[in-house]
Amino acid sequence: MFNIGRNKKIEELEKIIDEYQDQLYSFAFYRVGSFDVAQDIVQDAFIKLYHNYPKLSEVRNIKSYLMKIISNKCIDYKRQLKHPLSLEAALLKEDESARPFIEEFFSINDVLKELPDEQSEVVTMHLVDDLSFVEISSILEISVNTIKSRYKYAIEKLKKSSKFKEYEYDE
Amino acid sequence: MNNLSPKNKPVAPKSLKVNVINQLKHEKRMKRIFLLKSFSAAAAVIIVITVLAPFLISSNAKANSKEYISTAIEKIIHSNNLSITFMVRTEANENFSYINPQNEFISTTFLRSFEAPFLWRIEKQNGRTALFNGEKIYIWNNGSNVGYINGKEGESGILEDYYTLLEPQNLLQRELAALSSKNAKASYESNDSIITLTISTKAQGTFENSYLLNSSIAESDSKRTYIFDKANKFLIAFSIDIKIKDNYVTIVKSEEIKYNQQLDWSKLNSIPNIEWKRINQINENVSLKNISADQAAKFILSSLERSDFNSISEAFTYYDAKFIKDTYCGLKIISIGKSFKSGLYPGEFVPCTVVLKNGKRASTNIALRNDNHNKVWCIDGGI
Repeated sequence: MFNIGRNKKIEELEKIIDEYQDQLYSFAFYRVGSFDVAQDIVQDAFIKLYHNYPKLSEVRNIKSYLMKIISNKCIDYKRQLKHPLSLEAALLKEDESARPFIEEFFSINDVLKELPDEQSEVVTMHLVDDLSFVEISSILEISVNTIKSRYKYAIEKLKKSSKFKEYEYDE
Repeated sequence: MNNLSPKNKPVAPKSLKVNVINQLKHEKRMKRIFLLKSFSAAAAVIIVITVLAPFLISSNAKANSKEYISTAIEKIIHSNNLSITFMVRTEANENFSYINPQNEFISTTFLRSFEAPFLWRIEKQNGRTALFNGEKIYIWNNGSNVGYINGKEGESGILEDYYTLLEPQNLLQRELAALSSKNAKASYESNDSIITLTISTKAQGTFENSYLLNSSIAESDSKRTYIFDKANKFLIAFSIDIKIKDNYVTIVKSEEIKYNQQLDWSKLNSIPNIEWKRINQINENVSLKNISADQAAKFILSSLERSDFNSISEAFTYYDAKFIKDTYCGLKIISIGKSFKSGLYPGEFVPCTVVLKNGKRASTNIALRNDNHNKVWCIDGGI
């Protein structure tokens, strides 16, 4: 009796993993800069989703729920780091095929460090993760207007930085 | 476009999904061989059975329950001996605390002398047996070439549980003191011949990670029912149900309870002629101490990958060395996850996926603990 319900739930989870794993993995990677850590965090998020809900079909916005968990875990991970990883050290930890991703991670973070954390998070979600302001609002549990406002001030600040190269952006 | 929009988006590795699903599938069916835990767990079971576990009785039933429990406890400890046959949903060679609602019932016997030298024996049919012969505690699995022996009383923390068992007066006082707690519900029914007492308690332990939830009685929401003879006030039956979702499932039920039997103690005292190892004596290994459980798991698996069993033999004190070498040396590590704690288990679990040298892929949560004299990480479950 128990196996039947459980197996069905695992099948549901498999479909959810198939649908979201790439986006979530990228989401985590561009916050922690490590494939291994990103994988661990995303795995933990799926497992937490499974355990926290008796029925996965009852979760209202699974992507937002998972991204919120992952975002928090990434913040926790970065807080635990005594020293931010350097590009050289990060490259040493990964194989050569990871180089473009690692370099891009550092390049993006070099620009974002000009911003306060709350603005940086909004910009990352919109430009790096391709999330809409409504989606960001759902994940951060902040009104859409506040999200737009933070984004606007962030972009204005970035425009004054020589590191930010903009072609055009949409609100 | 701008230079914050990545040109490269990483794709999740296939192992991500595999790891998640394997871990979840493995959670309920993983066999655990927590040798150390088995002692305290056996003690817990015995406590439940012999002193009726009057945990946390609600105020409504408290007065009557307290009177019956107190009397029944005295009836038990003033007996010469006690013998109980009960059925448990478990596996024969698993630790005594291990339960699984999906398993069939296995017959278990418990015998205890309340006269010096306070012998006791608990035995799963064709499975695990634990024996206290008045001096030492032995534990072994049916068919195993290795058994485990505990030394002098007070040698380790787990002995405190036996100490409680061996001192019924103290146990009685402790359990009666628990009556003042308010953290559970109790119901009390009476007819002409019997008294039925039902106690419900919540799972004990931390379940931020629910890995061990419902893996033992203590780690489950449970309902215990005790039936007393109204005339002589002896305990005559009991059962234990655990809650799975919204339903209770019976996982322990008594078959027969006897007091003051003529018992063949020489037979009860017998142990098999096998190799005996000291249970809490893990030899020193500097590589396996002063590190985290994650680091220990990585070191152990890496050593096995190099077929370097000698460097980590202490980690497998509870296992047959030849079996470990034959089965695990030469494995290939696929992934090692982050450690987590769950339930009442005093150690930590480390998820990992490996490919054995026979080509078989295996994902498990290795149970690691270092609560031994030398603080050496050792494995006592999950493989």
